[in-house]
Amino acid sequence: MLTAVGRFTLGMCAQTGGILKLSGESILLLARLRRNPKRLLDQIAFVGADTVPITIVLSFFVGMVLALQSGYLLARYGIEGKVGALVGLSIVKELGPVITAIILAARAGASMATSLGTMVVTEEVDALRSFGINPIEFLAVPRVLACLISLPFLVVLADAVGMCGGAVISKSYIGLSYQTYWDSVFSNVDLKEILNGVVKGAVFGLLIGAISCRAGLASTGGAEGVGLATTRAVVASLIAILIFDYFITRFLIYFD
Amino acid sequence: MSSKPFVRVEDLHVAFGGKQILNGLNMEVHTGEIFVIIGPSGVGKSVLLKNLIGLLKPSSGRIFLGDAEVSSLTETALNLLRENVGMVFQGSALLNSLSVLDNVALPLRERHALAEDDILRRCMDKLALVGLQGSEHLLPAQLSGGMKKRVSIARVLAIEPRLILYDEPTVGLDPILAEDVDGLILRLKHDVGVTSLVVTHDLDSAFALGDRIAMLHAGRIHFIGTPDEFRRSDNPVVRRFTQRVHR
Repeated sequence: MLTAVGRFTLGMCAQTGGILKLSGESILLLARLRRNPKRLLDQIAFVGADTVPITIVLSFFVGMVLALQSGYLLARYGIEGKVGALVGLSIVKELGPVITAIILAARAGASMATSLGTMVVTEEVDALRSFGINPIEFLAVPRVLACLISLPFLVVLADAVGMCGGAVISKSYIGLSYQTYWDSVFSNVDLKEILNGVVKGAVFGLLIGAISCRAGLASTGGAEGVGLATTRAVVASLIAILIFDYFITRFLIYFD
Repeated sequence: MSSKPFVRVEDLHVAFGGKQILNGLNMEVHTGEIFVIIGPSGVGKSVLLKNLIGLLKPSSGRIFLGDAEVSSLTETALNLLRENVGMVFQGSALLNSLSVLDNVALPLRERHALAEDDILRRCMDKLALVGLQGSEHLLPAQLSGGMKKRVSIARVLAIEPRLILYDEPTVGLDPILAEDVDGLILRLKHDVGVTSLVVTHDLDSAFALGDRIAMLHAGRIHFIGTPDEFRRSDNPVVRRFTQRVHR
């Protein structure tokens, strides 16, 4: 039992160290991308632009559910006019960054782990190394930076769309006017709240990129190994998002 | 052909997960020769090649490419050494997101300070050399196995290396294509003077290509000699392999 716990702990420390190392390398190697910015732009298009449709759909529904659940509850106490504030603050501070990060991990993170893992088992990574090309710089850095850059923008989009979803339900089911809803939103959600969510988005993006790339590049054992790496990437990303969410929230509250 | 060894391996031991793959391997490859390593599948031929250019690290032993001891170099120093060495991988290892031309140009764009026009000119020359002019814009998924192999050879030729390592260059190819690839390897030796190290289990290719043939078995070299010496050898390991292949 003790051996198993020890082995697990050492494994977790090694994984965390590896992820932090890859994150640091990505930021340090950022300048080299100016030789071929197309690689970064292609990844931003895949990670960011291609994630926009699903982000819009899901965050709209998140906003609707939030307004539905909170609206009826607040109406019992006669303060349904505060729905806008509750939906706005919940989305901007928590649900926007977290749900968007989960979407990114499931879509882009899984895809990155799979494609890099496949490149390992087909010896493409070895081929890069045989030509003196650093696979971290060539493959991982554009992907990690694409996640770091894209997720804050996706968070802002999710925030806006989520609040719109809340507005639709507030009007149609709770009977609140759009004016009342948006007045409540704007009088309670300020730029600082939005920026806090954006900061979370940047941290989550860096984590998802680093975790997914590391899982993919560490693949072994053929197709089955690639599948395991993909699962590992998504699960580890989700765990990291929720753990870091707590600590970032504590940090931001401390400086409030 | 110079007699000075370009590649020297001393007492190489390589193990994975407790299993000994190479067990005290010694060999030399002379400058300008085609040196063939033959042996059954799974005996460690690919592992040996990857150790030669530092893609894998041995448990013990020393590897020299020219005057550089590969086994003791950092990744940065290895990257400099790899500018003069190319490897043709068994599965071709082309990057699937890049076109044929971009695959061939990749090492030049990333590692060599050449103008883009010069890079394109060189890549087109190498593609013509392997008989693939006109296919520059195709993706690897649109290529046959033989075409992929020739693109991977062109990619190595583009850096104009002094040493080329071939990992099973004719595996999966029909006899006519295999003969074409063998012919290309021979032409490179005669026209460019490049040193080649070929690992294969294809005895016909080995006899066609090799200035010398080495038999790898149980982690060590059991025989080194010319193709004629190989055919006439009484070495039991060699005879067992040749009789099994030619039964």
